[in-house]
Amino acid sequence: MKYSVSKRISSITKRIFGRRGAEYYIAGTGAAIIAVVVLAALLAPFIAPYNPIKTVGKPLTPPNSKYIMGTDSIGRDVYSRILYGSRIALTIILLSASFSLLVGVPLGLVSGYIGGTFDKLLVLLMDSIYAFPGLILAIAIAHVLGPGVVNIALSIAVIYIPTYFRMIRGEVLSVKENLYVEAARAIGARDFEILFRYILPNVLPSIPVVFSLNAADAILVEAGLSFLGLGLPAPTPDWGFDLKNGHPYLPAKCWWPVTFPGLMVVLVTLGFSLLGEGINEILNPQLREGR
Amino acid sequence: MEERLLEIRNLKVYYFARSGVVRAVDNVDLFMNKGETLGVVGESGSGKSTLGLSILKLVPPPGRIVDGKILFDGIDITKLSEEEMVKIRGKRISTVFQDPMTSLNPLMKIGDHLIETIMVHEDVTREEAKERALSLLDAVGILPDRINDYPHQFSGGMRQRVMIALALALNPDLVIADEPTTALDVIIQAQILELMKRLKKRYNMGIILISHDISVVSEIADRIALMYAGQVVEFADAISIFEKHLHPYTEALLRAIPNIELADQELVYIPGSPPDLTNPPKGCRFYPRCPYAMDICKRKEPPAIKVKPEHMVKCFKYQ
Repeated sequence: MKYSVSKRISSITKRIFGRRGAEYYIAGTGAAIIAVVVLAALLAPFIAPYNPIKTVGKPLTPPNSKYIMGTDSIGRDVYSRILYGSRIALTIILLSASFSLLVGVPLGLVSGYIGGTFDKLLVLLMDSIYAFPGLILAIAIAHVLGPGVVNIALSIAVIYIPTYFRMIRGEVLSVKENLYVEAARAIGARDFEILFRYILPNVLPSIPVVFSLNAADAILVEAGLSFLGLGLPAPTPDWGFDLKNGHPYLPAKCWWPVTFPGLMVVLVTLGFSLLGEGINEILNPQLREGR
Repeated sequence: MEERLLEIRNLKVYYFARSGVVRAVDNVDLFMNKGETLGVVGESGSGKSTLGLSILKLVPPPGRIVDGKILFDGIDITKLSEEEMVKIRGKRISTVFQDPMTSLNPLMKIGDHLIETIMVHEDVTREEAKERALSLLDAVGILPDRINDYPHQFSGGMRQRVMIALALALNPDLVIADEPTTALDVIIQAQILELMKRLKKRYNMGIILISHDISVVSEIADRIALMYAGQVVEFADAISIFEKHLHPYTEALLRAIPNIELADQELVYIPGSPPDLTNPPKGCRFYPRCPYAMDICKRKEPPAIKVKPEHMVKCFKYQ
């Protein structure tokens, strides 16, 4: 038993890293970056040297051996804040991407399958959401809902529902024309089964790609919202909020309160983008040939 | 007196396309008894597949059954709701499609196709359904250890065997096989026909075999209907069709079967092509290609003439 499990794991890792294709390195690098950030978030209470919301030193101390990333304008340890900030960031990414997935996928599935007026109305609605610049829509919704982790996640989620909807609907439209769907109907399968046994499994592979790219985008929007003061309430360690807090001191050559949270946003975005692109190329070999 | 399984009366199925109304099936009368095989032969676009789909009430839009009756075991199918049809499809009337390569869900195991079909229609446990799936696979000549394989692990002929097992899963009274062997090579084609013949006897079911190839149909059909441009032009028992055929189209089709003994014979074909079904010829639809065309053929549509109680032909030659 133990042997077969370890054999299986090794065959999976071989499949992911054993090949020479660039797409496996791309996806692997992305996954590694995300894994590091996830670890940082999980271990924050153990590895953070200071309490992230307490003043622990002189304000705007440059990086040194005591505060490896320096302190911010009111003397909080930047390194500790970044570690704790990754918890907030990941929570919001996961929540918002899941919300849009859970709403967008079923809607796209049903809309593409039923067609007709219902489909037309939904497409119109989704296209209207799509037409808004994402950040502006999120600002408006966040403003109405007020601060809070779930509310922020919701306002980000709304922007990405149409992405899932469009992709799934498009795939359903093509999958439902397959002969096996007609054959299933001819041997007496009901709509419910056709949708969940014949169509859904055949459109699922494209979801991880969108999920990953969506996550990369979500963190940018989240940082944007916090930067504009629509994020979480004040002392919470949050990268966007720290950017806002630190940027007035840039002209005074205090680069550290801004650079490190900014780098984290870049890193997470990069991680999810690489993972998404990598999976996309692994799943769609035609893309690979075109390169 | 043999029992009627299916009787089609005056059936009209039209496609309401933007370019006009396509009369894919126009005034078709057919019948078959229980346990018989009905062969439907015609060129591409003669309406034979539409005929098959209308018996399942699966004519795709913009197509619609406009008029006529389809009596299946005494019930008029054209009047049934979609809900009632779901109960009939698979359970009483089943189907085998032309292309076995794409007729199975690529993400479902062969066994699950069978097991789920059985479980949806009948109140059985998964174990019992699996037992039946295994005996079905055995009946179509697939080894039981392949029940957990996926469709891509099967060849075309094997997949068509699975499709046949799937069509038989609920012991239907009628199986509509729409070009079941067209996508297969000749040897596999013969195997599949042989299999269908054997299963028909074993399960005592009716088969409607739709094909463009009259020699395929001749292998197993009891009755043969020849379709041309949406109409049945001749309908009789298989022996009469081969030995005492009357319609010029039947004659032309039979002459076009290549004969292996006449090696240097030129390939016989029917000159011209089938008419446009949005705007069929006014009189007989075959007259532009008919070597016996008379004056009246251009002006009037020939009536259905019964030369014998069970031999119908649509041609003025026999009036």
